[in-house]
Amino acid sequence: MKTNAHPAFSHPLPSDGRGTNEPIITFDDLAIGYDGRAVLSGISVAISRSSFTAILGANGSGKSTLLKTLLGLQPPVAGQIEINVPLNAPLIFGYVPQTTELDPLYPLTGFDVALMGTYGRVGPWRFPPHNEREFVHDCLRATAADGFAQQKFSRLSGGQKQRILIARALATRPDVLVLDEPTAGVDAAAARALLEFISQIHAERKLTILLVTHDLSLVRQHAQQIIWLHQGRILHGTVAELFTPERMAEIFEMEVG
Amino acid sequence: MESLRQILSPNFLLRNSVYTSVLIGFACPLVGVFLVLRRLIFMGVALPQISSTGVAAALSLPLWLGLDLSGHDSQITHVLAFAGSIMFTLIAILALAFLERRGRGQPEGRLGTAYVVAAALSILLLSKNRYAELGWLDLMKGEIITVSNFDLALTAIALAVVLVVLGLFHKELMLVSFDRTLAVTLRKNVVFWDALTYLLIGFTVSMAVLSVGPLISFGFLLVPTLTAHLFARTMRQFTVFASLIGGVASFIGFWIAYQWDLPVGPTDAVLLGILYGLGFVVKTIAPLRGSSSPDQTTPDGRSQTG
Amino acid sequence: MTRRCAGVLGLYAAYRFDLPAGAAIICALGAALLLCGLASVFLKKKNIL
Repeated sequence: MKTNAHPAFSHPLPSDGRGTNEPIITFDDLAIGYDGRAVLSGISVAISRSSFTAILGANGSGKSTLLKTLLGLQPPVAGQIEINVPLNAPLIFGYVPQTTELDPLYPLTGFDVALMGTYGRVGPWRFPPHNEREFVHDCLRATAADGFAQQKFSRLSGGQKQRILIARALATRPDVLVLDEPTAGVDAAAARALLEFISQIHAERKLTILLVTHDLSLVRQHAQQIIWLHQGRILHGTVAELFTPERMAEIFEMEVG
Repeated sequence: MESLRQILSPNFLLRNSVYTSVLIGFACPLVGVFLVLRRLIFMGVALPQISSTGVAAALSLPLWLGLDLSGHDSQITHVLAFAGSIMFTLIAILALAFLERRGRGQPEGRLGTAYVVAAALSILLLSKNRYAELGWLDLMKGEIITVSNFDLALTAIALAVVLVVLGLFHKELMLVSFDRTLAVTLRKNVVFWDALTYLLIGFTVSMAVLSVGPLISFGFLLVPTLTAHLFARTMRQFTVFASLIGGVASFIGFWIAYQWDLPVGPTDAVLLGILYGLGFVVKTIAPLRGSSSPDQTTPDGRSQTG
Repeated sequence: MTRRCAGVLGLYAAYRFDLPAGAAIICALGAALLLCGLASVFLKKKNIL
């Protein structure tokens, strides 16, 4: 449970002055899968601090498995994930799930859901203190979600839910913001607005962002790095490197072949 | 009204039964909330039955060991029943939860099998047990007649512990139930909090079965919770409404049963069913009349314009 | 086959120990299910299944 000071999301760089090219997460010959069987292996990728990285891939390509392995929900089959944070503090993930993963049966307001982001700092047998509740209000204001935060979470639209969940993720004071298909179930206009908003957070707060999606067109405008899971292989590079006509032809020839 | 005055009188002969019934009515919905939200309603059917099998097994133990408890203090019998109930319930709930997490087989199949085998085992054990003549068969049917001061104190203390634990750790229990992945990323020990949730459910069910039998336990676990869910807009409202509905219904049910010389448990169950039906009708009619309705929580949610 | 064997065993137990027949059959079926489940786990671990 984090009680000591660490860079709040409004302070972009750690005090030891490390640059933004310093990797914060390194996948070292990582293999991911289930029950000891790898679905993807040989993943050796470094994610730079304060970068905006998109993890792309079709359904069943292993995106969610990679995400679950990174978040610690399941162990890697082989290899390791190296975390590079100052003062050896644990890395805090601000996780934004798909809205469909959350059961609408729970009578929780948007504020209740956002408040859960503070539970990592508020110990058992304590209620969230006033300053944490105010911080959550700040996060909701930052995501323009304060207007509907008192409504039942299950009654909100997809875009509204995503804003609440992003506020929740910000309330964790994350080192890395991880978003799992944030545009799923959201109409095109709202999806564009959401990506613009995420880019804005990234630019203002210099948060490291990991965004999992299968929507190529949306992320190429925003992401700096791409990790592309394609037919059991891992392609990695910047948008400029991967999205050249030659490279795309090579990739899609592999698909046709 | 005369019967109500009698029930409320401090010298009422069955006052312990009233107090126990009301305590169970207030407490069971508090853990029933987790059964409903976690979509484990069938577990609320199976657990009380398994608990009563534990009672039957515990009461059969002296018989198997060749001991004669008939001349002994009934408190020994009740402690034995309590131990059997708790042990069977906790083992069952942890085993079922473990199998649920491993994703093996069909959950409904497991729970259905557990329920029917537990019921059959109870019948077998009680058929060979002369202690069944002491009223345990009536207990299984929900007849709350005589409750000693010891039983009342035991029930009150046990349920107070459950209430305190729920109050102190409510946010952890809710977090692990609602978003397990977030709990993992916040470095919560989800296995521990999951186990605590199940233990609280099992403990409450055990106490309830000892007092009011499996049928009524199931009724108090689920029906007040489902009724409250129709109207609650927040978790706090949900929990408080469920508990209040359970407690008030248990008292009114006892009064009706006393007035009309009916078995208490089934009367409570029917009353809860009527309350749920009325609530459902009100919830359905209210939007049709154009009045502002409470939030409707349907399993698929409703979208408003973003 | 399992169902028939369990049913017969349950009936026999009811006769032998003077138990309610229906409950005895249900318990026998439950015991058979448990045994089959354990056997399945054992055989999977041995890579037989």
